[in-house]
Amino acid sequence: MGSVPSVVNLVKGEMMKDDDNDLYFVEGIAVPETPLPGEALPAWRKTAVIGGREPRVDAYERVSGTAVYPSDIVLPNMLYGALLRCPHAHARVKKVDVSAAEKMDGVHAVLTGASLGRQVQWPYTETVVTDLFDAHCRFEGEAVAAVAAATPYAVRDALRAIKVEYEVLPFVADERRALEAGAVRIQAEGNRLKGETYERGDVGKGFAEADVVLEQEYRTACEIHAPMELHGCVANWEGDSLTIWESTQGVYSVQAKAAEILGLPLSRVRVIGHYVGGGFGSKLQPGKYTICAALLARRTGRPVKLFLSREETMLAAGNRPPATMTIKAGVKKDGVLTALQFSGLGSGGAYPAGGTSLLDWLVRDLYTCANVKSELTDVAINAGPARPFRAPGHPQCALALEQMMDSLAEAVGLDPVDIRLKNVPLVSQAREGAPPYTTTGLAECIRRGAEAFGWGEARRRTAAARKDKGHLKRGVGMGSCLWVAGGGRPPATVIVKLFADGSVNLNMGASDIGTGTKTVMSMVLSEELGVRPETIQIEHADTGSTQYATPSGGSKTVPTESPAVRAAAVAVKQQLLKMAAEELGRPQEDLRYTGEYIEVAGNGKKVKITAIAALKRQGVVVGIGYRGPNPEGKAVNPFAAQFCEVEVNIRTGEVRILRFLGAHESGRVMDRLTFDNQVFGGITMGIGLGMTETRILDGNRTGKMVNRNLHDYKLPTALDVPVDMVSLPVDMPDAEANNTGAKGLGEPVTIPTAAAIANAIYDATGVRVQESPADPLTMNRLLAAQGREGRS
Amino acid sequence: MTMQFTYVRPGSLQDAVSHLQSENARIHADLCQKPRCWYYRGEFHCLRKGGASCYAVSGENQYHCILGGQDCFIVHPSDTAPALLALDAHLRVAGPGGSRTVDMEDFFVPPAEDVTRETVLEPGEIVTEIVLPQAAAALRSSYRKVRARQSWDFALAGAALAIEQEGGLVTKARVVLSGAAPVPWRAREVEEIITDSPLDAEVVRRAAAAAMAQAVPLGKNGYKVALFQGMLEEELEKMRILCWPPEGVSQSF
Ligand SMILES: Cc1cc2nc3c(=O)[nH]c(=O)nc-3n(C[C@H](O)[C@H](O)[C@H](O)COP(=O)(O)OP(=O)(O)OC[C@H]3O[C@@H](n4cnc5c(N)ncnc54)[C@H](O)[C@@H]3O)c2cc1C
Ligand code: SF4
Repeated sequence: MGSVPSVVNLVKGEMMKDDDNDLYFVEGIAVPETPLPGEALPAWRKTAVIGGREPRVDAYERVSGTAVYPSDIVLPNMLYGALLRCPHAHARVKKVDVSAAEKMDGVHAVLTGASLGRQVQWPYTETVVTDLFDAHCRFEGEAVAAVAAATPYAVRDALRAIKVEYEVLPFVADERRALEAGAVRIQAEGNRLKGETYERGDVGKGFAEADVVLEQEYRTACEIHAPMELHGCVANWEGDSLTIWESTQGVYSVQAKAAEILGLPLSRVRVIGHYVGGGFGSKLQPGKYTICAALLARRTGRPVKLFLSREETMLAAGNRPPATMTIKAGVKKDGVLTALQFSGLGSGGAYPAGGTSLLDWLVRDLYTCANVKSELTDVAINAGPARPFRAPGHPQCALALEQMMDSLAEAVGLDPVDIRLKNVPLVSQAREGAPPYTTTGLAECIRRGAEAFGWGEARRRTAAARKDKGHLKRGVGMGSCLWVAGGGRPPATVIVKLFADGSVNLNMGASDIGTGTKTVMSMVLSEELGVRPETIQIEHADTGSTQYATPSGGSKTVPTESPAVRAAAVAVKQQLLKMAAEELGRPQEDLRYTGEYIEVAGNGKKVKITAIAALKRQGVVVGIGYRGPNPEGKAVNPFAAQFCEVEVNIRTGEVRILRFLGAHESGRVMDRLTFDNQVFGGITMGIGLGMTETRILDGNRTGKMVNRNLHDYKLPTALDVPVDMVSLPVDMPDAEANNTGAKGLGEPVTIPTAAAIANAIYDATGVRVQESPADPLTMNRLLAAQGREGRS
Repeated sequence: MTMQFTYVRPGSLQDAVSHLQSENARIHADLCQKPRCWYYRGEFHCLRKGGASCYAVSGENQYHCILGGQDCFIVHPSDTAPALLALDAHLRVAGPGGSRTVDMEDFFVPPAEDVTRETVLEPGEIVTEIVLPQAAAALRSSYRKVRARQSWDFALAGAALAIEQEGGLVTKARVVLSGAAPVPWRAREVEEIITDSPLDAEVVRRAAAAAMAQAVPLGKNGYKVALFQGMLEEELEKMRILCWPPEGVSQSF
């Protein structure tokens, strides 16, 4: 021993003692008791590693550039693929002439609707299936042809040489006009794709009982997915087996869809996605690009790399649908809600893609209210299909609901914090049978967040400053939320191997989408096995060599995978204890696993793990862990409240965000560093929704997206995000939810942000920002409407 | 060899100019950048590119001009050009036919004159020098920019101010707007109103309103009128303070 780990030491740049036990085990760590086989895993009590601040296990690889992302893959003989895309919002392909392109130097293959015909079908949904290259292009950016060529330049030149004759059709670019008489029909059955209604109690009665009834209208703009790494893959065939390196949140979902479309057995499609440069929901599924890369690779007999350009991703790789919302609410003088009525109109583009997905969930479930009615209408417009976007539906709904809550509070003379605390539910009212939450930290998030933010004092300060004549106005605002999912669920299968030298290998199919999944799972192993997190070798996100996992999305990866990892670690310990029991001639109940050693209770005798003869003989102990079921009749959700302070220049409409605080309850805090990363990142993304981002379609003339580049599509920059950001974890291990007590965090972090900003702007100016983004364009319009004198 | 850059954030136009006097100092003058209009940059064969019509006039014109538009409604993208114009710069231009001097005032071509060009540069000509007159001791200057996001963005509205005051009155003023018009835009109405006047609240309000008197907003850029007015009020008020104390007022307090 010694020589291999010393290489590890060098790489990690740290010194280790020349004592082989220290190589992999943390000295003196208190690992939890090992339950006997078949016994349930008790909740962790005091933890040694979990809850601490563990840096990313792959931090070095990521920052040094040695991490190989799918877009870094280069294979021998590799060709470059690209898609020709429809430049019109709505058109029919009449003719595609590829003769010139095919003759060009370096061009190896050209695929078109004519050459593929009906052979390859693309399932937009389970029921809406089109040809891969459908002649009816319903959005700008729809794929018309695919080319493989020797270089990235040759392939783009070839695209330009393809001549397409289009019949340009009329278009609809705005969801509010999709159902107008005379609007062009985008789908055969019309532009109304889906209607959904929900009702409990009697809103009529609720409004009649209310002391105050308010009604407001809202609209949130469409946001475009803009992960750092573009969408795409490298595809390579070996005989009849296909390997795809894809930038994805879930290798098994890419495998399933690619196999289905290409008519291959799952066993012959291997998908690898070790790193992914951001997904946010847009990489839960493969794209047409995946299929085209595979087909081009098949046709040419060579590996094909096909990554989209930024402009293409903006057209065709998903978005957060625009939403037009009406909310009506009734409240009693004491702040108790009596009725909520909501209607939402949204569009996920030209195909059914969840245009109103979960848009009303917060209205249904966030606050106690007996009488709720909602109606959602999902319509088709000529724009790129939506893909899930971090907390689908929720931030849009929060902008409406959370501003309504503030309006109600003002109308009955309550503080925004107090009206929310009046209406905190302990059960999930919107679910069948109104099951209780396993735990809810909503009230704690609001209370502790307000205290840490200095809410009461800040409200008094901004109220007192209202009399001042100056044009720089300060305001504070808040918003709270829950996230509909975040409990995780089966299936998850994880394998943990402990080798004869005590080193450990973790094998799981889940992707680490940058959230720190690998790090958190290493911490779980460290907690249970007493090993150093940074020495754990992780194999993941490869359908060929790791276990089945659902894609990393829905804020469910930690609560789904970590219980399986813990179970696998315990299975390893149980086997080691069994081996030791036989060797020491003691019953297993008398032995205790302590990390480096197995000790005999009472008499101080102990055996080194690496000295167990059976382990040496066997070479490895393999522990398999499965994710158990969720508690029956319970809802598992994370909760949050965010607070912010803004300064508004009422002369210019400029809004500066001065500070933010996110109080989040996601069950147990696993890694405090990754926890805070999510909170800061989520707030940053929420600032994008609230302040800067909007897809702009040329609504009058062409329907084309005019701001499809990173300059005109305005993601927030470092200067748009306050330096003063605080993450306040409300650590409430949820023993009922699963064996690690964790709930999800990745999505709630972005839900109430835009709403909190809008409420702060109202506090500062008296202007209700009922649309996104609150940029100087919007703000000047609203301030001018209010009158230059300020609030009435 | 690695290059070392130091970026500075000047407090005023003169401050910027003084930074340029240090060795190896560079400025991206941004005099000749092509229009940022997204139709012009995108797949639209618009008037400025030789097409039949302007897409912006009835389209997505939230970032377009409210002054000086005719047939084409771009805004000039530069932050530095208005500043140079406010400082009364002139340019040395060289080409195959020799060199010449062009006043900044005459350098930019508005669409009313020729919708296909932005400057008077002939093919083969380049700008070789930017010449600034010696600044008067009383000169105070500023550049203000309002944008949709705090970095990496062009002006929604901007103003370069170069103002001299004496005895509490403005003696000389040049006010140039960015984000307003197809060329850096002299707000002569403002200059006229404030010259020979104190920068008091009434004058400031009147001047800012006058700057927008001729504004013709398009469908989606009406917000710019209030924005420019508010921004100019703020900047002119700051100028008053910058020139404090007016001559004759004791500084001994
Ligand atoms: C992302 C981004 C954001 C930006 N934001 C802003 C902003 O907010 N405000 C702003 O003012 N600018 C902004 N700019 C523009 C930037 O200031 C200009 O790109 C820069 O000033 C151009 O200088 P350059 O030396 O890089 O010129 P180049 O890129 O070399 O040239 C720009 C143009 O000027 C011509 N040109 C260059 N030199 C001469 C010369 N001597 N004579 C005649 N023609 C010449 C070139 O032919 C070309 O057409 C931004 C640019 C980028 C890329
Ligand atoms: S504003 Fe000018 S550049 Fe833009 S579309 Fe119109 S003509 Fe073209």
